[in-house]
Amino acid sequence: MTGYLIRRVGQAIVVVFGVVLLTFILSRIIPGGAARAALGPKATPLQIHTFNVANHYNVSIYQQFWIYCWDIVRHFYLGYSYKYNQSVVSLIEGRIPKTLVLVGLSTLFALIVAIPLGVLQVVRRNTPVDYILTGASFVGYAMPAFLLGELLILWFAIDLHWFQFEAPQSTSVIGILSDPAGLVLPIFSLAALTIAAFSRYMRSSMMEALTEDYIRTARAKGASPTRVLFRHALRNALIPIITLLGLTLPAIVGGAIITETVFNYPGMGLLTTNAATQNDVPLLIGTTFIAAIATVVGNLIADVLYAVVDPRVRYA
Amino acid sequence: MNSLRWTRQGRHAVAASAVVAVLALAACGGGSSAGGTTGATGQATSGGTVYFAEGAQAAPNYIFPFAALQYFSTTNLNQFQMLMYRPLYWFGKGATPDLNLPLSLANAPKYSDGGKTITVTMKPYKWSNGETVTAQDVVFWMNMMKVEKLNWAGYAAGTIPDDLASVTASGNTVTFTLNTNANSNWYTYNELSQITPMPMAWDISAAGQKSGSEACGTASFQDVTVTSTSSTVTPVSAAAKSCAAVYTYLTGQAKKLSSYATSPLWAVVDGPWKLTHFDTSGNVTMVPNPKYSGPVKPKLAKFVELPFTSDSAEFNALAAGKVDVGYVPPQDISSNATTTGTCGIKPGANNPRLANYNIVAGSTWQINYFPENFNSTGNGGNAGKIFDQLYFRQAFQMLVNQPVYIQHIFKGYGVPTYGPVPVCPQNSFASSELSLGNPYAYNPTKAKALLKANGWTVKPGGTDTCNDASKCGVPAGTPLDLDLQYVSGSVSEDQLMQAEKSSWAQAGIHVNMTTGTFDTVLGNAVPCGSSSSNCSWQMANWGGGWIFAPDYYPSGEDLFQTGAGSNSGSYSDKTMDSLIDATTKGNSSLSQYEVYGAKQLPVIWQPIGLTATEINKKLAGVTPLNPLTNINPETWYFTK
Amino acid sequence: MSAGAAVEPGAPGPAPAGGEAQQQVSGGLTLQLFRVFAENRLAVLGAAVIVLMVLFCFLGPVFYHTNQTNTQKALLTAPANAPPSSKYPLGTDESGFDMLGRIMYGGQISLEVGFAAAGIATLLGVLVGAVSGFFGGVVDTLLMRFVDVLLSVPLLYLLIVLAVIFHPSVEILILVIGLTAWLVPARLVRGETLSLRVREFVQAVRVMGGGGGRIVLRHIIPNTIGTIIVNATFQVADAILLLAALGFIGLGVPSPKTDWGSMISVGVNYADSGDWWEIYPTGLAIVLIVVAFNFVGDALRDAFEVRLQRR
Repeated sequence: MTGYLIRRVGQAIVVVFGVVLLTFILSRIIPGGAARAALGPKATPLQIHTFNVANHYNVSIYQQFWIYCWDIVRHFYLGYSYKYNQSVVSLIEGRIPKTLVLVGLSTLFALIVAIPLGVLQVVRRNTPVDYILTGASFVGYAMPAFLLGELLILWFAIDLHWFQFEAPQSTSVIGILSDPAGLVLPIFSLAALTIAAFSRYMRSSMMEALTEDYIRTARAKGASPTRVLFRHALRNALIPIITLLGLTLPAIVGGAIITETVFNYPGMGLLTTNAATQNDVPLLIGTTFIAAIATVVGNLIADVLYAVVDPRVRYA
Repeated sequence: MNSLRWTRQGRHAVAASAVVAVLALAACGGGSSAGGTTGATGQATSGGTVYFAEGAQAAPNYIFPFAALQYFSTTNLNQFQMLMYRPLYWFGKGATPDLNLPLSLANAPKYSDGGKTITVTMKPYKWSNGETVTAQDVVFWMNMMKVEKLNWAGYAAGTIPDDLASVTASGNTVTFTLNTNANSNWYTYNELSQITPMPMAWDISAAGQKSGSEACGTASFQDVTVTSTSSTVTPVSAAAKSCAAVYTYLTGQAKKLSSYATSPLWAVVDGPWKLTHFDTSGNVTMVPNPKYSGPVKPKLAKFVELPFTSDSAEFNALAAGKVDVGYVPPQDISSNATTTGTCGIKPGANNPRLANYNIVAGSTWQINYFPENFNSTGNGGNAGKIFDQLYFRQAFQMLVNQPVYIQHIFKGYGVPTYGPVPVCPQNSFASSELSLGNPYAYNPTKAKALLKANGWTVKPGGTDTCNDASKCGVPAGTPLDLDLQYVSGSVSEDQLMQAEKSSWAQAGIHVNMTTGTFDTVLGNAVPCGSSSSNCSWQMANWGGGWIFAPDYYPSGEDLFQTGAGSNSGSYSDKTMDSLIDATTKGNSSLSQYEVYGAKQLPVIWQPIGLTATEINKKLAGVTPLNPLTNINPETWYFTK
Repeated sequence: MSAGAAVEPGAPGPAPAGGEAQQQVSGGLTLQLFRVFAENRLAVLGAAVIVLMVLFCFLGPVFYHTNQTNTQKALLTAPANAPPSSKYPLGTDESGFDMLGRIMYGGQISLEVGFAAAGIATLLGVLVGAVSGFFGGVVDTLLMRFVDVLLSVPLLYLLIVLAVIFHPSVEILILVIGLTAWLVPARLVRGETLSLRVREFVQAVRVMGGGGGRIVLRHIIPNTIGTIIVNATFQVADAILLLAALGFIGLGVPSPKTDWGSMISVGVNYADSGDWWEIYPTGLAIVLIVVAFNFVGDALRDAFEVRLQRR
């Protein structure tokens, strides 16, 4: 087990370094240069030069990479956003808790709904209930996230006035949580797609589990269908869910970009799209970097959990 | 309610840059000469809180007036800093961009000695900490400018402070002595406009120091010595080094946004307002400064600025009555405005959800255009030569149907550009000749005739070819095929460019359009020549043109002189150079330069889209809106 | 099951069936495919929808002419945001373009990008995966670490960054989407290759003197066709959704071309004033085509899954 752990962590570190290199390359291939982006059309060549010197764009690319890495390691400095006059890290710091709230709550909601739904679909396999649910999850799966969000706003906020048209705008997590009505639509929108995914996963995972040899054995030994279902199939079908959960960690930090943007929810996803449309490249690269690191961590945790649960994996 | 709709901000030909985008989104347009509606006509009351909408994604983020270019925006200056820290001279009077002496900190500058000596007498203003706004406060700013000019937004080589032989303070008088000839108007509007006096309380290099403890604020201009190369400035004297230290300290403090409202540094103000609340999301609260010495004291009790992440969020806030002064996003304009004369904008009926507001619109102090690269190697080396031909530029401009685009794309909220000096709002700088109309009004017949007369075979809908090299200016057989890259992400820019493309196609001018992000387009539109490795760009439109701030005098030395820093297309014309020199160094008014520029077409003029402002019907004193987008909440009041 | 997962950063690639799909040795590939469609009504429905949609988008404009590119003409002659009428069956958009024609026009781009990007992703993924899995060693480690790095960046982030840096055009979008989507098929094919290369028939070819390249091309890849086809089907659906997401953010195809996502992005502004025709038909088009691909992909995967067939 420790051997596996060490190997996995080692891998993760290599990947992190790769991510650093990737984000560095991306940040340096801005056409037109960062100076023009920050200073605007009135920049004289002299002002551009001053900016470049101040931000180390005038030294060799290797030196720049070294400065970039050192900044990250030394003070976790990911760059500076001129549009906000704040460092990328402090901007992201402020947003992550809110994204955690949104995705955490919606994942929870999704699990609570999806697991029973998946089981139901297996139990009522090939009956109308199964078909309807399968159909619904197909549609839910095919619906682009932004379309679902916009439709929800149209129907429930604008036409019916049951909810407000955008998420709570408070800057603090407490502020956001104290306005639960405003969270309903964003959570549901984000959860709907996760429910569709999870319940399909549950369904096929359980159906696969049901074809396993140990199920036949259990049945042969006279176990009741319920016992077979819950004690054996479900437990084993839940294993990939662990992996899935681990892999949703990047979604947590990635901020469900689309949902936040549609509902104007002040989390990391909205920060990313704003940075994209404003051409605030340092901020964009910064959020990408954080999302990537979160993914690496998520994968690592998922793999370790999977190894704990399924010993066969450790020797792969 | 799509928070992404703010990307549609670009409807009014604006790109996402700090200066440009924010300006067009500013909740103020200029009042037209017909006068915007004044709205409230009830009895004036005092007190009350006004809620002002910041532009979407445009929250103030810099408080120190000595700002570098990346922080130099309407949001930071006109809607934030200038309410607290008055510039030496205030520009923008009513609906004109003129010098506003009542709001300035000094009396009118007196030019003598052939315009080379300027005497500025300070008015008896006080800082909120008891200091007087003295001539030395002006010298403090000049000293800092000498050492940190490379970090000053408005610096251009050869201009202030390089053109000063000396600056002396004596009593409440500052005397500037120039080392070169300068046009007095130009100097007042473009050079003196860059000065904001700073209090001695800022003359420190560490927290807790006593006011005026650094040499920077107390030394004379002569004592600050530096050595300069073309790209560096190194402080030499102790006073100069002290300026570097003070600058480092102050900019460091300016990076701490959460401390803006609590720092004793920024609490020292000479304007009508002082800051009581500021957060990183953009919420700003100001209350009247009881020590303000200016002519109009605030009647309101509180002035609050609200941030919005999207146009639609702002619109919904307006509709819910949470904002008193805001703007209406283009997609929510329910009926077009009508144009009266060249500049008059008569707003249409307001959006039904905004029944409690008056809608007002006016011009801003800018021109809109896109450059052509006169040195372009495109189109087989002929693009640059084609642009060189005046007849081509004329035909090209004559196919741009500004009135129609203003009506259909900007829904009537727009004004045209005829030349290098804004024709709207009506101003004293505009030439009377141009106010008669566009020298190149839309005329496809004439455009085609012009091309034909100059040796082109005109194929409407296709691509023209040159049949007579001696007349075309390019080899025979050259196709009239050109490239244009414009900024993406703006619906109105899209529509405008596509409409113009179809228009040019009528005369067989085939324009290949590509889009690019704002920085791509800007990055490509750089002056290049035979020594450059790549000079293939032909035309580039970043959507924003040029906004005249702090260079309020539209004299063109940054844009159209040979070798000027922002002369993207490398336009070079001896007559233009001497006309510009006459306006900046000689005694000429802008007239001749303006007419020449309009007729010579150094760039292709484009219509300007404007944002309409919504003002609470119960709030008075807001109009006429100022074309420099200054706001003066001290003149606003609620009516019963 | 993979379509939506790519839009929200999440599970990379299809569900548990992923690396375990095995190939039926009996029966030609075409026969198998035919059987899939003969037995599964949903697959037939899906395939029919796809074909109809392609015809609608590409042949439709031949019969139903509308102006979709001349902005000046649209601005001057057509009413903007007009509701459906006899002249404009689905109304007009904010520039005055006919919506029905615009759905066809936007659909051409959406489908083009969808197919092309999926094609690139599949091609690249298969090659890299097969080479990596077969040759193993340093090549495998390097390639897979590279894939890991790219996979670490949530797909939408990578797309946004690339779209911001390289100004969007149809070709750039195809490349950007394709070059970010190849990672999943690469992983899948590598997994398959790993298990295939130890099989007897591969050893046999080696013994007979077959070179590595030949083995990869002639034996490995054909035996992973099942997985590849299934994945490719989902790739198209994913690519269409990704392009729509990019278009919605404002990083889609530049004017005068448009795609379904950009159309919705524009239409939403007016939908809440009641101009429903500006988003519902387009939204329906997206959902239909993606559901259709998912039906087909699911059916194909069910068909290639031996264990389930043995049931």
